Amino acid sequence: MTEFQGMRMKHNICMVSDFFYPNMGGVESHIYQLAQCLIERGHKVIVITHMYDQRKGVRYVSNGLKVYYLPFTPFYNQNVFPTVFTTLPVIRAILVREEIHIVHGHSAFSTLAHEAMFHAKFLGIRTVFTDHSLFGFADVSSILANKVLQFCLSDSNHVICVSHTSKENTVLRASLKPSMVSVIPNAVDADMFLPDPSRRDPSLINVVVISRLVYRKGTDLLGNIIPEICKAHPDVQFIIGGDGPKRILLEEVREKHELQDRVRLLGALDHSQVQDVLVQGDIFLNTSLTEAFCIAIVEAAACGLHVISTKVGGVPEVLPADLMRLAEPRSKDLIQALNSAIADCRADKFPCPFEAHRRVSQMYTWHNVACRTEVVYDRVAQDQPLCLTERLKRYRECGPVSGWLFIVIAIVNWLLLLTVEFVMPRDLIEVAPDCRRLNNKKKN
Amino acid sequence: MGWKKILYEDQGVADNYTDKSFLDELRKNVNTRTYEFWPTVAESGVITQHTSSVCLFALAYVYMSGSLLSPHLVLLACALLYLLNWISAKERDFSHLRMLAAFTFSGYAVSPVLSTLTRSISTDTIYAMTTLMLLANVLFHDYSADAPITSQPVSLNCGVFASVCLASRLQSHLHTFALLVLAVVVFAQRPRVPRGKLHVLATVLLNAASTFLIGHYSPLLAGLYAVFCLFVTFLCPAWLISLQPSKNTIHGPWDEAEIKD
Repeated sequence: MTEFQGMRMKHNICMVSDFFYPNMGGVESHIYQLAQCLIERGHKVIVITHMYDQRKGVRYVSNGLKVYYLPFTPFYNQNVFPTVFTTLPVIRAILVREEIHIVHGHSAFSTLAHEAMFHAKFLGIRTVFTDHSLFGFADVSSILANKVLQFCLSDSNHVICVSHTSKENTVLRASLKPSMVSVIPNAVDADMFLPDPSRRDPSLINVVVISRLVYRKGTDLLGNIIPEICKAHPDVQFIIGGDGPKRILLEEVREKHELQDRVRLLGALDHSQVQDVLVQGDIFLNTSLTEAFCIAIVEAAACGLHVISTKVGGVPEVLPADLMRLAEPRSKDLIQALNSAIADCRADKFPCPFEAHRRVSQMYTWHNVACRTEVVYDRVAQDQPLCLTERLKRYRECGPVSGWLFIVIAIVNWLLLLTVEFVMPRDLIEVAPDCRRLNNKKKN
Repeated sequence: MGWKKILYEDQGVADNYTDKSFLDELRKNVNTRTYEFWPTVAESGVITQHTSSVCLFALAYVYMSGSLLSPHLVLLACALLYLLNWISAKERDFSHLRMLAAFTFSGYAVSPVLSTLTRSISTDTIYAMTTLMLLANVLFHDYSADAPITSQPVSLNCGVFASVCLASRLQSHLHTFALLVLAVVVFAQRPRVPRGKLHVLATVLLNAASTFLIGHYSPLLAGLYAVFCLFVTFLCPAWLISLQPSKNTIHGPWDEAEIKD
């Protein structure tokens, strides 16, 4: 079972998601950073994801983090085609080979995460799930996705959400017990986001926006605000990083009001270029219509910018009132907030950027996230794995029609597992050597 | 100090701590309407009016091809309907009249071509296509409701296609032209009846007329259509009202904001 090293339990953890390196994004960097911190704390971590172009098989990223790129091609929205049963043999082989105790799935959008967690339960492995996004309840896609989530989490051991609003949302969507959900926020690598006031232009006030230019991120609101603010304040300029289908809207606004020299559209930015763009600004503007956590505003605050954001989702919980200004998601309110922020900027009333950086770097660290996640793993390791009949009873409670469907799927999967166990018995699967532990033992 | 809903400070509680203010901002059934029986019954007339008009259109074809109905009568009826609508309209729109004239004249010019258009296609195909298209028209028609399934362009196109199919089967140019004008009235430019007693009267008249005329052709179909009308007019509103108490929409801070400017 789990080893004890000193006073702390050591776990063998498998992170699963469709979203991982070489893709860059919030979920991807969350998994990577969390895995790195857990390895530092002495746990064994592997990652399972799908193949990216020609990248198939086993790869090692920094610190000996082993990544399995399974030979399933992404089908829609970077997710593999949901077949449930075809992933069983390979995932079982990996989980047995690596002697995994806990499977940690990420992102409700990821089909691979749901499937891996489903198979793990048949092997008596504990499961933990982290939800990174907010969902609605009313449209067809949300209803189906919530049902799948309810199925997946009905027999999971624990759930982690990135904000209190996200916890409320997930509890309602999957009908969970609130005590089963922990709130562990995202974190930011503060050393990558250092302020640099020398890069700012003292004669101008730069408003920076870095986001995907899609409807969900409120690009329409941004398009309404830019002309008003530029008209009212001749010394304000906009720097907009990011790309998306709504870019054309901003280009049209720029054309129509002749703001070519006051609105810069930088296009898609690499994660490494973000800090460079942020330090040029005085104010960071976020106009999202929905956000579970919004790591962008934390990065901006770490660079010493004053943040203005729409009051949606989990955003009000992220930063204190002196570092962030909130406004309702309406053009009028955002313009008002921007006006008062610009006035404060002129009057030099913003907190010192280095002080802001120091405060933010202490609020959200990956080390803190890893410690809190470890607490979850310790709790989960004490849980008794559920037997099949108990799990079927829980599936039955999911609904009058869907309950039976889930039971059928579970039974078919169990029969498939028996077949696979017969064809490839567990004791014939060679256990993978853990290079780090071997190295540590050699050193000691 | 009480527990605050924030993430940037360690409040000294476990991560799965659930405060008593949990789900405080949850709101249920914020935008639901309550329905009353008789007003809903009156509103259901929109649906039965349209289905009856489509039935009358198909019946016009049946009677005209059986030479029981003269095309002159059809043209006269359409003209009368327009005149009535014109008289009762609040704003007299001359551009509308111009468009109508354009449709009429071009329709009359095109009728000779149209009446022999589908000569090489079998009658069964024509009837099957027409049935399918009219069903689609009824399904996708915009009954002045904001539902994702209604699509005015799809509905109009299906109606026009169905009328072209049928019009091309009639015996003379005048018959074709008459059916085309009727098609414009039924699918494109239906005279609007204001809400109220006139609306209810129009519903009753149209339904009765179509049921009676179908009955002249086939009593079984008339019976089925009458049952359908009663179902939509009385049973569906009752069903809707009985389901309303179980409505359970969930709203809260997690909802995607709507841009209201």
